[in-house]
Amino acid sequence: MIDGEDDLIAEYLTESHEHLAHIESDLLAMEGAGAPIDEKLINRVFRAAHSIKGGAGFFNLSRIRELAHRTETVLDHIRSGQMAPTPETISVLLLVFDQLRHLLENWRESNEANIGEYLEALNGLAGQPEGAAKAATVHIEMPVSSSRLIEICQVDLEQARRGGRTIYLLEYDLLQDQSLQQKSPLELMRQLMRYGSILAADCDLERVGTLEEQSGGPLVFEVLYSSAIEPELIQNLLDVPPVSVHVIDRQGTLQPLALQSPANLKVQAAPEADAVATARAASREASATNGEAQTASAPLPNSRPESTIRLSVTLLDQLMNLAGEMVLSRNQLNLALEQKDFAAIEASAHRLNLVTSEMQAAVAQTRMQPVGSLFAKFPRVVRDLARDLGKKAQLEISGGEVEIDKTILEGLSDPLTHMIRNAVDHGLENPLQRKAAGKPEMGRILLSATHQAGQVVVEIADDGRGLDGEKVAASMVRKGMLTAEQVAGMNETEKRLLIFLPGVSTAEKLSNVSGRGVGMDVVKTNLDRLGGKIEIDSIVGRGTVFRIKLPLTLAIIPSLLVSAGGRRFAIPQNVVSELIRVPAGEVAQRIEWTGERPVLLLRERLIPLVSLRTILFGEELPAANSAWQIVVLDTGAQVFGLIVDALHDSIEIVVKPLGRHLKGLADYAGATILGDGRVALILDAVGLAQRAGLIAEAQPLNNRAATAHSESSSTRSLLLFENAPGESCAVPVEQVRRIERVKPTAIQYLGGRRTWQTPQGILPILTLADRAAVGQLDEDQQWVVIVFEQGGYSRGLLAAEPLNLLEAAVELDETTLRQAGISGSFLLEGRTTLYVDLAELAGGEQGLTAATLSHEAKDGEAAAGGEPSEKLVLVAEDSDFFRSQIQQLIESVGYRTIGAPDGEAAWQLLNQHAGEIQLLATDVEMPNLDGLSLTRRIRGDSRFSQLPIIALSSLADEEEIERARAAGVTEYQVKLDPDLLLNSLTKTLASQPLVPA
Amino acid sequence: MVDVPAEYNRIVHLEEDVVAAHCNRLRELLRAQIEAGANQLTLDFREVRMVDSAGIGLLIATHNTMRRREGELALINCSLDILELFRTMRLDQHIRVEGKGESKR
Repeated sequence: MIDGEDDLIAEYLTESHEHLAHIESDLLAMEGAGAPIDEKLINRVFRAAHSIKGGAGFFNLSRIRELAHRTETVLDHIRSGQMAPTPETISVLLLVFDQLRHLLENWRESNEANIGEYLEALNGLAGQPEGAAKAATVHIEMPVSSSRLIEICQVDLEQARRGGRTIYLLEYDLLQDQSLQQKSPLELMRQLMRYGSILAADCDLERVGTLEEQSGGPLVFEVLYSSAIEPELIQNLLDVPPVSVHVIDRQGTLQPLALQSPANLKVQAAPEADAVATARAASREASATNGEAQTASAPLPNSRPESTIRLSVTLLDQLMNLAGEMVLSRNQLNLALEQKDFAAIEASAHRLNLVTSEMQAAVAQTRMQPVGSLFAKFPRVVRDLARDLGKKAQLEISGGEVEIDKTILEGLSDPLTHMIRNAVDHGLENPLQRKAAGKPEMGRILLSATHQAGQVVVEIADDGRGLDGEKVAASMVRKGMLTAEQVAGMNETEKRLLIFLPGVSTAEKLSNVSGRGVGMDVVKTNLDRLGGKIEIDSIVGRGTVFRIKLPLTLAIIPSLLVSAGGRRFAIPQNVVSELIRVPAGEVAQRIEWTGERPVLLLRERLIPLVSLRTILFGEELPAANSAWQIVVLDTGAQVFGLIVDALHDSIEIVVKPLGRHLKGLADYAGATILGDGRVALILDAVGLAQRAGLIAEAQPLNNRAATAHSESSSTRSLLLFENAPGESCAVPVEQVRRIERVKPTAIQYLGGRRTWQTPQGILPILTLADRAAVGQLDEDQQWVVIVFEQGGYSRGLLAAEPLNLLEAAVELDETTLRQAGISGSFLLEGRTTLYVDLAELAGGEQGLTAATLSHEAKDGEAAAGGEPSEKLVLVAEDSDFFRSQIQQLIESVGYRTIGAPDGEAAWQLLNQHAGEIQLLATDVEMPNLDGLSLTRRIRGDSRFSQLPIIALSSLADEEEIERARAAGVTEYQVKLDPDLLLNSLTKTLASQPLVPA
Repeated sequence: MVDVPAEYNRIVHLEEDVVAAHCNRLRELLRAQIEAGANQLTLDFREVRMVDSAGIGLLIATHNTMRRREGELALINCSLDILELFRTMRLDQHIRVEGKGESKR
């Protein structure tokens, strides 16, 4: 090897890693693109192999050079078209580049590495196009009895390592382990399989002894195990902790894992066995035949955080400047102290203060990393898993440039991997099921990161089968983990969140319900540690969105100090919108009362008030003859005033997490230590609002009429309102964020959509009549806007007073008045009341669900709804209601439509507008000429043979779908799924030239 | 508890779970069978619902004893749970296990 060239080598390694960084995505893109090779892609991959080869030759790294050279040969074949980038070829290339990366990381030992099988696999490719990696086996020695070996195929081992999983060798003593007396071995096995997979296992039969030996030896059971759980966690996660845990590195050698909690281990046999194991492993490492020099505290594979970080020179210069400033200030301070010049001391302390803040900001900046570096590994995770499962999945990534603190980014890796895998495994259906549900075979997973209100929001959305909270809850009840009463009090959101309970993953039958929940408690634990919050939105049959909200940085946040009841509390500055002191003399005028709740009139808005003393200590409100100190908090979802005893400084606090026993308290976000050494709790504005029951009451409502049977489990809390005069409607209260009165003139039409200007921004406004055949609001009514949240966005529903809040037993009739946006009707005090489905109402609007969001991004111009598009869609449908629904829906995304009541009329229109109509959406069963006959006629005419036809039918059976396909429809959908229709519509039309040739 | 259809192939019908509480009794029973000269010992698990760690130990010890005598141990009519246990632990690579209704080799 070379001496004195370390700097050069370091440079070569950095450059090689940069080349390798994008290799996965490039290879996957090549695979996705298929036969006509994208020259740019292949050249980039080729260049990577080439430059790795060049450097390796220079530094005499013969194995790296050889492997890179053979890779280059294969890539050359692909470039020249001699070989196709089949999934098999790409798999081999991915493995080879993994190995190259590994060899580069351990370049000192790379010349001794065995790369035979990789070369063979590459030769197989180059020689015969169908060749695949030849199976090679790895032998893993048992730590205790080195005579025994576990044998496993190299490819299996590599597969098992995918997606950041770690390979462990777990060792149990099934006889001596006390905890196994509570748990059967079968439960132990099932638990292991829940958190990972068992690659191989073996029992040391000899040591058990025979029937003659009265007290047999230990029953040693060893498992080769692959799991996404990190080495630090594995001991604590498994109910029955193994006697020893070893991590298997890429050479197949064992790395003993420092045991985290020796207290968990069983005393009897463990110490001896463990000592032996460690000693053996250590001696083997020392005499490792492959000459691998052990670095003393070798970091564990897969949990290795990056040890270097790239910094912009500007930032570094800035840091250097600040450090210089700091030294200067210190010198000044020293001088001033010597001279006891207090004015100078004060001045330099002030200066030091300033420089420290700037320094802190600059250092924090160095820790910010784009999430793209983490996201980059997921396309491969999705690809590999989808292949394993026989599914089709496509990962779309956006927001990779969003930056987040390095620590958070690293902590995010495991939970995110788990969730992405879950989305493929359990979220997406298999191609057959998708086809039957009228979805494209290719499932989509959208991974995005955005900045929102001082937080980073990471979304994992899939268009799969969705997560049914009811079913999750029902299965919890069945298993006795919750009572029916507990579940009855939960809303859909809360029910979905049940999947994060640790117990859920013990459910064998959960896969029949929804499949989610496998290890989701681990995800939750990890995210909690990062200060993250997770939300789930899901529509059964359409998909699921997991939304993780993370702080930008864990370290230091500016906060406002307040006090109440003699204690001090910190409120993060990002939720504080203003501070108000109502003098003693003005309390009576400025504070109004709605029922029990005081509200503050602030610039024509009514802001509900909550007293911190009342929430925390159950005390009364401050007296009306004293001044009220109010902190106005804005959580994004609601604005409210918090009455405190006193306001103090605004300071920067270092956030410390709360202890485990306090962690469940929604009122607090953490704790901090103040300058005087006292502890102050950090208030969580959202938690406080929930605790105070503020979710639905921000405006005066008519008195709460609680009906007598409010305790019954089938009762729902409803907000009643009117649509058109006399048209009584209801929504569940828990979906309502707030309600505000508006004047009809305040509702504006912007960009083809109804909007309302609020202090927070422009709120899109919906009306029931947008989707359902109901009356319009009358200008004489008092209009209100019911603000709700859907898919992470606020929306307003235009409604009219009188409003009423009540609890009522709802017996929903889901047939008679069922239509889009209205889930049915029920009788309330003798009046028929429409039960409004806000999610469905908003779902018809574009841009709400993840699926539509992503195509909106692609077809911005079409979906923006600004300029009416030239593209014309013909809608053939005999039901006037459905026809107008479909037309409205299509027009809402900016296309023009014309309607026909039957197939014959549609044919005539098509002839009149030949060359103008870009797509036909047709019902199947229609008078005169049915949809399929219409399709056949169209396909028989050369002018229209390429016209995209979407069949919309109420029939969903396979036979019908097959018949439609045979007739020539492009797509078959069960009506009416607005998202699905818009999705395929925009997709089809975006790829169409304006007028077909 | 025992029926002996053939001299050297003994089928033992177990009527209780193979768990720690029964292990001493079972150990004596099995030893007696082997000492009586069985070189093919088949345990009928039709009634067995559970096997715990001690039970696994006992079965392995029986297997070891049989091996020394160049005999073989087999478990038949195992429930799905017990099959799952033996297969997951890869014990089926050493001891022949069959589920309910599976044809004998």
